[in-house]
Amino acid sequence: MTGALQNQNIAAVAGLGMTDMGRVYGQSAMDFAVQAVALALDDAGLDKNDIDGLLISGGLCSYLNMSDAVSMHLQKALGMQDLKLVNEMNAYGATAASMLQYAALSCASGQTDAVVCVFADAPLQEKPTAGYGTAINVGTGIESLNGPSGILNAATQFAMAARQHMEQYGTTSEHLAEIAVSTRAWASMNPLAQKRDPITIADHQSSRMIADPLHLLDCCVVSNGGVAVIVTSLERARDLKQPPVRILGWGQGHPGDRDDRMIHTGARMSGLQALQMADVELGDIDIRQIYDCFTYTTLVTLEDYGYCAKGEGGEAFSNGRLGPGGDLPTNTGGGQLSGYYMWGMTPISEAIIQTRGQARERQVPKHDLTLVSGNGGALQYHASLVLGADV
Amino acid sequence: MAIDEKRPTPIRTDGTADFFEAAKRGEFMLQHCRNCDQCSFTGYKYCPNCYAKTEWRHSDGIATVKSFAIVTESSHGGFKKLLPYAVTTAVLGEGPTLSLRYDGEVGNIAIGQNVKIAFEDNGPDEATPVWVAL
Ligand SMILES: [Zn+2]
Repeated sequence: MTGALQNQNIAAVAGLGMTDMGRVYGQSAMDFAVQAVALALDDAGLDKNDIDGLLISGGLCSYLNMSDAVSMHLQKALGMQDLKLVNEMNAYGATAASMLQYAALSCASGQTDAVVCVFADAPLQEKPTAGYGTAINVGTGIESLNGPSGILNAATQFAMAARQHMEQYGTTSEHLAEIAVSTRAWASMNPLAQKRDPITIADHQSSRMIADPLHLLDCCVVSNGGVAVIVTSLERARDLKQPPVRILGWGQGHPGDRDDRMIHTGARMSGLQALQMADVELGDIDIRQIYDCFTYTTLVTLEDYGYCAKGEGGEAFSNGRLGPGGDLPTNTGGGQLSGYYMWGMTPISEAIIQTRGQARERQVPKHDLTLVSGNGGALQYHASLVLGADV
Repeated sequence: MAIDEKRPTPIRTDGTADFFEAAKRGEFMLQHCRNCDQCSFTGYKYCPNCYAKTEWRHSDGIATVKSFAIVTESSHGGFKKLLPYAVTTAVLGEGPTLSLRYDGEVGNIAIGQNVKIAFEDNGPDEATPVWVAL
């Protein structure tokens, strides 16, 4: 590819704001969003008047019961007026990586100087009235057959994908356990992570079944909280408080409803684009931050990025290769499995922390290039980023 | 949560009225495009292949199981009494793929086996399609 933007030093992350996450009650998604933006501004050393663009992840709207655009409410709550860019986007878990792409393009074109990208969610209630994601019947028409069919959460769909992978390629539950164990080992070093006690393959195998073949320890945590990321030009970022995290490449790959999308995912298309734009090879990547709503998602995404032949991920990502000290450090903050579930902001936030060299105990020694994945829905969407240190 | 909590029922739309009407009679229908002869099951009025208007047409509902998940826990009272149940994705002979609950012993289901559409009678509410053993 010889795109005009190839290998250009166009944009960087200048600020990261992360609220308390997990079982944090008494705050709405809107409350978390405002706090996250305040923290990101402080982190970057910017004033709110320096921000002239606002992108919002659709996750924010799902629990707010709002009839009009969330952007209208959030812009008001943030006291931001006369912005040059505002929008609310939704490709589910691929939204966050997409927001950074559009923010980078906007700053590169000169449309905006600094764009804040926001995700916040508050699905956990202190006194739940119903299980999270269980009492839904979304959609109408054909779509509305899911609820009556007992397809009430993503686990059911990912369990079917995992079983198909197992049947076709010989992947086992123990292979998935390897991913859960490696990811937890990273989480044990991350004070932000919700699950920090180390686990074993046996713990995974004896954890209760959620949707066979997926056990509880194949599934992500659920979190309240918010994350905001400020994107600006690389030049500007260099004058700010934090080490710039360069946005070197990006891509998207959206299979839509393609029947085999959960085995051959959009990670392939979006990953190739991102690597080409960044003008790097897969082998140059130091760290991987993968959207891991389930252990299976890590496996299939790494396969589609090209870390092994299709179907060989079970063996290829075993024996601690993804964990601390392994040769393919992946989801170094504990991911969504053990860390925190902020949709696509989970992999992005940890990528920023690692690239800056601020991950303390869990810092990966070589952290120049990170490949970030975000997938959405039941893998209908995928967006990738290559983030890099300013070296 | 009450164990007799009602399971959700489908919600018909303009484009799916014929489908749900047939379902009440126990007949399964797919969308067919006369222009390009493809079958689809989107519930939208136009063919996703050529954008011509589709019509609903009888299908024998026979499909091959592609994968399944055995749901072993649910916080929804209406599904608790069905546990464990198998959610099953199967490919219809005409092409479209459909994920529905398998109404039968979960131990009897296997990838590659044939299943068939049947309908649950939901009284005055819309009928719900399920897979049954062929
Ligand atoms: Zn057609």
